[in-house]
Amino acid sequence: MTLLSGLIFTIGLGLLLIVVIKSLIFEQVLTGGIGSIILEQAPNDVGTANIVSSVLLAYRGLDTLGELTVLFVAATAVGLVLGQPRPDAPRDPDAGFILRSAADLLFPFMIILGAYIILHGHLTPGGGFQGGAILAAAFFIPILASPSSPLNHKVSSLVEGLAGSAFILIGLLALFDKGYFLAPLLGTGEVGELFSAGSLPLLYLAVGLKVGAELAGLLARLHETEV
Amino acid sequence: MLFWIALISVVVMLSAAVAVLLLENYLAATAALSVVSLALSVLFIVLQAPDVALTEAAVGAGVSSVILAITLRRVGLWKIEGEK
Amino acid sequence: MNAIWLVILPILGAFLLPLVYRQNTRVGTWIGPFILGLSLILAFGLWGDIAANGVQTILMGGFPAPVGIVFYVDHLALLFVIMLVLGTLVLWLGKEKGNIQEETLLLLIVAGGSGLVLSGDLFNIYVFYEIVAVASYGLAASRGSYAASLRFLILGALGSSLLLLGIALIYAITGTLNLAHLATHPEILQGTVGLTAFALILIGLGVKAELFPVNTWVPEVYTTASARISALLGGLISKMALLVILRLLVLLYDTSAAHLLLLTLGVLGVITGELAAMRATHLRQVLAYSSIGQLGLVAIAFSIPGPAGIIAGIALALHHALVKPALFMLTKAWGKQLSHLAGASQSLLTTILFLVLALSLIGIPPLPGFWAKFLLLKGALATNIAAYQMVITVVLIATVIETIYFMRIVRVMFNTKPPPIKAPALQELVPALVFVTLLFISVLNLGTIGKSLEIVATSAADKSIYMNFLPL
Repeated sequence: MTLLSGLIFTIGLGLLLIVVIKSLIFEQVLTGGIGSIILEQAPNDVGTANIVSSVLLAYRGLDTLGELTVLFVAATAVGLVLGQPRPDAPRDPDAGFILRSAADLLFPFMIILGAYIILHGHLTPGGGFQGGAILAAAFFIPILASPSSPLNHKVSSLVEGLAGSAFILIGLLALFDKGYFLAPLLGTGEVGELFSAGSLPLLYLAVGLKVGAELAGLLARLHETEV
Repeated sequence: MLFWIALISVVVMLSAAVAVLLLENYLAATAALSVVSLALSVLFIVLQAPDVALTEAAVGAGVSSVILAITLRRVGLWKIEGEK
Repeated sequence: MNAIWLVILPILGAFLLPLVYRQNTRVGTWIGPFILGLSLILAFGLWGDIAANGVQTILMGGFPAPVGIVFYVDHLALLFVIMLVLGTLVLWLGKEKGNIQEETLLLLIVAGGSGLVLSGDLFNIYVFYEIVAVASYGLAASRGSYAASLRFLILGALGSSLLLLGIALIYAITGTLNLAHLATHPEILQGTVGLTAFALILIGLGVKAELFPVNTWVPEVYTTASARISALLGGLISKMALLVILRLLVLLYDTSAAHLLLLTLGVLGVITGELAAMRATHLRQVLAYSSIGQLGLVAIAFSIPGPAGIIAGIALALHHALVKPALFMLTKAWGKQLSHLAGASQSLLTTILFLVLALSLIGIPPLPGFWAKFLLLKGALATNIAAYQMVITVVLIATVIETIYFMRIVRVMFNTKPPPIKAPALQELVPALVFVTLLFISVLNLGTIGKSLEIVATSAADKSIYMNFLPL
């Protein structure tokens, strides 16, 4: 019975989507779409070579703050469900020499890659979220290789809290300076330079640090509280 | 050329998605799930969305598979072999 | 004064809360109430501002309207923000201290709920909805009720993805996400695709608004989560989602098809909720089903075109937001099977509180519940559409069923044959007492409240005010 109703729902939704997609016109009736306006204005208004980051941090900066918050909410909820790790919980033995050396060797390269992606977010594809995920992986791989040396949760939650607040504070500075929350500050600079696009790289740095610390803390917490 | 890359990634994506449904071993299903994300990120590059592709590869194929795998281990469904 | 503070302050507080707690627990426990109090003062200040200077629109990042994100601050949105912040603040009273994660989630759910009603951009609404949704899954699991929370999560995730699909469809056919910009050409959204999008959005938002087909999580979560969380989710958060639906109806879907869709879901919700409440054997379950029914009434009211429906909807929503959290807080001491309530009338204060709240929920004349239902009937009668006039029967039948099950509970409470259960401590009654006091204050000021509600509703029903800020 349950299976049948699930099947009916799925088939119905599928048929509905087929009908809808067939009748879509992809014409974007109003103003030819917001997208074309942004493509035109972004380099002048915001000064990013990568248009996507101008949308993420300038035009829709509040959405990015919201996404950061969603991640924070999820991590907090997971922490609430998992509870505190017991100090006497049994730990896995360290992996063999090869794995540990490989993890140590990978660590600096992954940090550099993550930092590169975060800091060049306004120039090349990528940015805070992607770089943050790589940073988190960089911190998590050594934990997998040698579980006896766990992540320092105090440091990770400190970084996380401060980076999140830094994002909001930059937004509030813009509110006091220009009257609009999260307005781009510090001018646009020369498009394509590393130090350009005003306060956007700073915002991306905050996003990257927050996402990295958050995910690393989350993964480590999941790993530690294993039964 | 682009057409063939897109076609291959779509085929890989769909077959991996079906594999997720059919595989009995949860760990193997998780691996297949990350294959879906990886093929999707190739498709995003073909569609000229490198930002989205990077996100999909880092988050979809990377972090979320790791989270799933650790969760499987935590709830005791982590089995390398097919047997019980 | 800027309405962005209403969203930013709780988020900032939540980010810093774990750090402050580690430094100084004493300060940490006061951060939550302090921030909520500050938000409340801000919201009241903004209310005065708007009364004096008219509706405010806030551009994020200073980008003009259709390109950037816009916050639209009018009395209706502020009213719901004040309701949410004030309700959370009252529920904070007598809370066991020191659960950092729960306090963080409470702050974030307030931020998300405020953003949800203030935002004038569809994708931004989705982001805030997601904050609210994820926080409520976490809160629902806060007392170890993992199975209920997991089912809630699965249903909610399905709803969120359908909501996103609906928003994507709207963006695909119009090319914009700004509500006011969309409202300039509502005829684009009247076709198949537009109405499908509305149905998907309705299902998505309906998970939080407890609309008919997607409310199966309600009884399970409300019986297993702590009373405070049930009060918050059922009494306050659900209204935020309903307000977004109202905004969409007024601005984008001012057609009979969309109105009738919401009406149908509302009527089905009222009927199923009230009938299920009559069969329920658990006090929390009765309250959960009755909240499905009450929210169905709000949905019916919002589906009535024109300001009359909006007035009735706001009145019903505000009334339910006062009464239902108070009832949930009363069940904290005796949230068991109905038969366990025998002899609960020993505790005089609790009994009086319960009676007042139940009578108001049923709609007995001097209490505000009556006026809310009366406004709904008046609005429905004034439409001259057959479907709405049939609704009156549904509302009256629902009232009769409500009377039956509440009176059955009261009868059990006055049954003193078995040894009476122990009375709840006075401290636990504080939130309920505050809510009832607010209820009585509203009885005494019915005239002024009615008048200001009318102003709020007429300005909310007027599309042209909303679209004023567009530079077109």
